[in-house]
Amino acid sequence: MSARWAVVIFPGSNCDRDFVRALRDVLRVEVVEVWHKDSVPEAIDCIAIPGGFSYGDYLRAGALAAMSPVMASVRTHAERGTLVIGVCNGFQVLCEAGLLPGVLTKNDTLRFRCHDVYLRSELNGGPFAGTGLPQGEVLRLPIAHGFGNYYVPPEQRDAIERHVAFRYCDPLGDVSRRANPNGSVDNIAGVTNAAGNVLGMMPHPERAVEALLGGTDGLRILQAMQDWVAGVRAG
Amino acid sequence: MLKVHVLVHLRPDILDVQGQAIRQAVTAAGHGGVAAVRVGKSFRLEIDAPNVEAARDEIERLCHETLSNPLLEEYTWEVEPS
Repeated sequence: MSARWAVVIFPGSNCDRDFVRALRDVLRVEVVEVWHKDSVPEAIDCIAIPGGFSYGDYLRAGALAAMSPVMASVRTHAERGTLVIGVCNGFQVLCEAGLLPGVLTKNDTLRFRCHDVYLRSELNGGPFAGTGLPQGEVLRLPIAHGFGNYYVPPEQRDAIERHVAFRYCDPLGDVSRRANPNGSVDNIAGVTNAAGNVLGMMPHPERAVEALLGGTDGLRILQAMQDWVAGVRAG
Repeated sequence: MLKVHVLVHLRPDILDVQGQAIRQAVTAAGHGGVAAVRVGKSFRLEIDAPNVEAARDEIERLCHETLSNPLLEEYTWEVEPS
């Protein structure tokens, strides 16, 4: 049996339909859409927090969504081990909610960056990589953000190093200053929590699931989550 | 009603790219004496409390947990005459 997914929708989310389509039509899994005033149902294996401009990015990107009613249930799920993936604004929401370390601030270029990037996977197996996405593999995914500049204070850098999931790199996997689109510390494009079941990333895997639309690298992350849930169920 | 004015700025050790861009623009416009610009946010709150002592803890919590993100920002607040 495949995983049961929930896609959370805030006022101002705009990648929720992309996520639902990637899951329902490409991965062919069961998806429920959850409005921000409701709770994520109990019987859910994976939660997606999509991109967009929740609450108009008022106060700080993701800050108001982090306080919305649905997040209490996301927190309970996360603490219980449910897989949670936050993309773009979803990453900002998870950071503001304290479910992931660090914070995302204005791109150092002051520009909204909207193009494909290359990422080096730093994941060593686990729910978001499994066996299909080996460490060091280079992925190509789109970004579209103005606030993707990942920051953690210097005193926390060592602690999060083990939880870095993806770094911006060049097509050959070299993590260089030039490959960094937004000024993120140590080219960090995605991190997990300490337990490893919550992932936040600025690039959009749900927008790279069909060859016709530019690539299928995003599918590898979503498929890994599927396989992980299937593996856990099988014991 | 207690009127409280909160100011939030990026911490001094955080690069303020927006402030930098503004400084460059005003310098180019002839304001050569502007050595630095830091951009911040201002919040005017009206709090239902008899005096500042009764509201101090709540204001601090509000500033620390919501109005600022302490990883990047710092805040100051003051009570304004009502």
